[in-house]
Amino acid sequence: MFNRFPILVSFRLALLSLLLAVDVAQAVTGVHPTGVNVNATAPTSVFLTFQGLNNTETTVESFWCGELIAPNLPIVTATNPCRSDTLFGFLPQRNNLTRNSGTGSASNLTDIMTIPTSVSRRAYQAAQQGEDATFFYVRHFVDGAVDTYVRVTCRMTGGGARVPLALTDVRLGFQGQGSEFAIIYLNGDDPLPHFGAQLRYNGSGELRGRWELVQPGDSEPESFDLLPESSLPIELRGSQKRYTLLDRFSVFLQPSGVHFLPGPDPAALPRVANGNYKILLRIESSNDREGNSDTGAGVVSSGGVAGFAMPVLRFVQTGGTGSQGITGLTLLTPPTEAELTIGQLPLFTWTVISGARHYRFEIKDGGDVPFVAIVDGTTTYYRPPPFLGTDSVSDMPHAWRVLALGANGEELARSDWRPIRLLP
Amino acid sequence: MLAQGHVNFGAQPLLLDNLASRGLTYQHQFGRAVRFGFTAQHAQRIVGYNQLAGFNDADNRIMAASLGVELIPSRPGALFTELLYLSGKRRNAVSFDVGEVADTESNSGYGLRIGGQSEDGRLQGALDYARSRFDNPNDPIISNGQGIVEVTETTDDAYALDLNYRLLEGDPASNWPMTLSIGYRTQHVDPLYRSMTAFVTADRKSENLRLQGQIGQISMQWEGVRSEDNLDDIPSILKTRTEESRFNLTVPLAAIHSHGSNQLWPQNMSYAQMRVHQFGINQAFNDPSQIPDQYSVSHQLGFNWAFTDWNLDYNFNYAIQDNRQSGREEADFVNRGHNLNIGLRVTESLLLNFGIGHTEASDREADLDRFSNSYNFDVDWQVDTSWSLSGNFGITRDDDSQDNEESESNQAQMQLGYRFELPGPAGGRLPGQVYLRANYAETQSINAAFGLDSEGVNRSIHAGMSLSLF
Repeated sequence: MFNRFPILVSFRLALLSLLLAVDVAQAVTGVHPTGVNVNATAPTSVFLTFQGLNNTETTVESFWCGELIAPNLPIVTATNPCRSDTLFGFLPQRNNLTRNSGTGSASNLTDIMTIPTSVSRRAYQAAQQGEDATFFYVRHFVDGAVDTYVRVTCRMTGGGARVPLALTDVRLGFQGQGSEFAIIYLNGDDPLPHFGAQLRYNGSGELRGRWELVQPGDSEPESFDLLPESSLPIELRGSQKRYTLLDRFSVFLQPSGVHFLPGPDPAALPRVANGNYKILLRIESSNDREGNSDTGAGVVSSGGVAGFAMPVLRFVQTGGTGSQGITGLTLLTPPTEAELTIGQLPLFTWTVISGARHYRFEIKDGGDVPFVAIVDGTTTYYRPPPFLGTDSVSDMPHAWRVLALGANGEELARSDWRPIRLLP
Repeated sequence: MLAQGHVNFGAQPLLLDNLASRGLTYQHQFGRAVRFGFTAQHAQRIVGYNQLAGFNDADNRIMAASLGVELIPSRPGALFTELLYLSGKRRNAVSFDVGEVADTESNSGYGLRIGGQSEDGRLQGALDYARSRFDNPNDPIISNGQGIVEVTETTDDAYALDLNYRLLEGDPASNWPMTLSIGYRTQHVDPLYRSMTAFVTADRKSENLRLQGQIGQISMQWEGVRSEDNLDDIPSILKTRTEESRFNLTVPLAAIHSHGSNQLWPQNMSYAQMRVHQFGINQAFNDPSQIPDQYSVSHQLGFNWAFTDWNLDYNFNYAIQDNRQSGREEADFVNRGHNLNIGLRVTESLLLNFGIGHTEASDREADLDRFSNSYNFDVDWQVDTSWSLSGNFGITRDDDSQDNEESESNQAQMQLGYRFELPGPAGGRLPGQVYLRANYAETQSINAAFGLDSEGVNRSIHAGMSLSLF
């Protein structure tokens, strides 16, 4: 029908556009950015600034849709610009991080648009059926008298370069044995395992931040404190609680979507008090051209934004003083899962531990430790002798580790078990 | 063997990769050739006493079973196959202490892995194939009680082939045995492929060539990757090609100078480089600046000196992001960072640590350099078997070349602990501890561009006592 009466349709659309644009002059005036590149197959988070809210205006909902009721609609409309049969979903309440914001005379709303994968999946399936892959994020405002809808255009991409740098999945964990547990329990003398964060992200650029420690007795961090700095309006970015600083980091994330961020040396954590500890990953705002948002009073950078608070890593310390050294014991070679021929084993090397008088070198065969050697504290390498032969080794998984021992045989540090493959 | 609690299961990288949650697993080995496994787990990682068993909520549970067969039992690993079946549902809820964007999901599928190695172990390979049926059922959190477009359930495939061959096997009698391996991997993942229990980037095919070598204790790796997305060539979705190369070099100088050379050499040296060129290869968008053409390089160099009473680490990183597409030619970034850390063992029980860091981030388009300088000092003193003292002090200063932003954060903490024992039942001892901690934190931030000036000071004293009864 549209094709038969193009002139009539054009007239109707023009009238509709006029009606939609009516009476919104006193309400929210715009949004920045107005269009963003998003990930077609994974979540996306983008920092948005809705500009020029009036004093009584609040937001009631936000949603995504696949098509507008008319082409070339203005960004700000008085009625819902979406075709109701192309509604893809609403922003989940847990990811709704909107906050009123504004500096100087600006009165804005800061929003983190977080697109769940199921929403982009709907858009992708529509595109497979021949529709335009572009879809729209619409935020609905009311002020008691006037409804206002403001939309952002979402263009689907692979989630790499030219997409705002945003964290979409963050998992903190300890490495090695017991890494599957959400909380680990340590006696005061137990070394804390190495830890880090497995990050999935969109975009590329600098990710900066710091590791902090919540110690027994400290006030608990709230969700607000755990948000990346870039998920907050500019005026709130210095107001998050800070805890004991462990280390700072600044890494460059390539547009590959996955990065492992190692934590600081676990031996450097102050563990004097027994009780509950939390290791925090604090993400600071970095300069990301793709995530810049104009607030009307200036441009806010938003590198490292996320639609959720950063998770924490917990451990409980019981007994002992837990006073740790300043260095951990790190294994050097052979690397993890190295394939080693029995009888021709290479040199095993590790880092020095200050104060070590001896090192205890162990090779594990399944759950047993059939081979132990004591090495003088002045050397940091060892080559197992030829009698570690086929007869003494089963086909169970193998691993090696080193313990540093003090003058009285006390344990100063211990490495994690490192898996190796022993071949006949 | 039956296990219940927090359990792990699965080694199928495309379908079920090390699922770890609360539930149960059962593993059984039939002779030397056949092994069977089963798991039923809660769909999210949980803690607490709700859902104690973990696997009794049928709408929020993942179940899987695997059957592995050694086809040449006399030579384990020579040729093996494993078939895996997965079925699960997940409600829209986030796992405990995980940062994620959750959805309601329903998934079933099967995976096949065939792998093996030659008799001399020089040639190894594995083929993984997975078929996954995936759906996002109606989810009130997303639909908000309104009618929304339904996700169509799809069945999609993914496969990967991985081959590795040891070209050179060094003479172990030599001081500098040389080994060299070459590897190749190809992977194809359908556009809508998705698994609840494995992170697989959908809509991508990639080829990967890698070389791994060792000369004595010096090891190096090179890897080249070429990948493409938008495999259905949907014209309104951006299609990108990515060309990556990665190089890693590790020189454990300790192993070299253990043969008797200058002891002031670093004990360990490492270098890593990564180059990525990612660019659009279709005209999905009208605005050419939206179609990326980005070339980026990152370098990381690290040295480590370690002696009996002190250690020193130095790390340097450098990265450049060069955008080349029309309209973004000047939108380039350069990042540099230096970190130096010195640890000193003054006595058996007194440890000192000093660290200094400097980072510089340059935005060429805005002609803006952002600087960050940090200093920290830590002390850890085990006075005797009962008393311990620790402290840390840190200063961080950030500013930029246009005086837009400036911030400073100062932090100090001292902590004193005393350990004691009380007589316990049946002649035992109950270990206890008291501690006293003083904190001072001060932050100051000025943002001239937005007219913001904030300052905050926090002083606190904490004291506590603990007694271990068990």
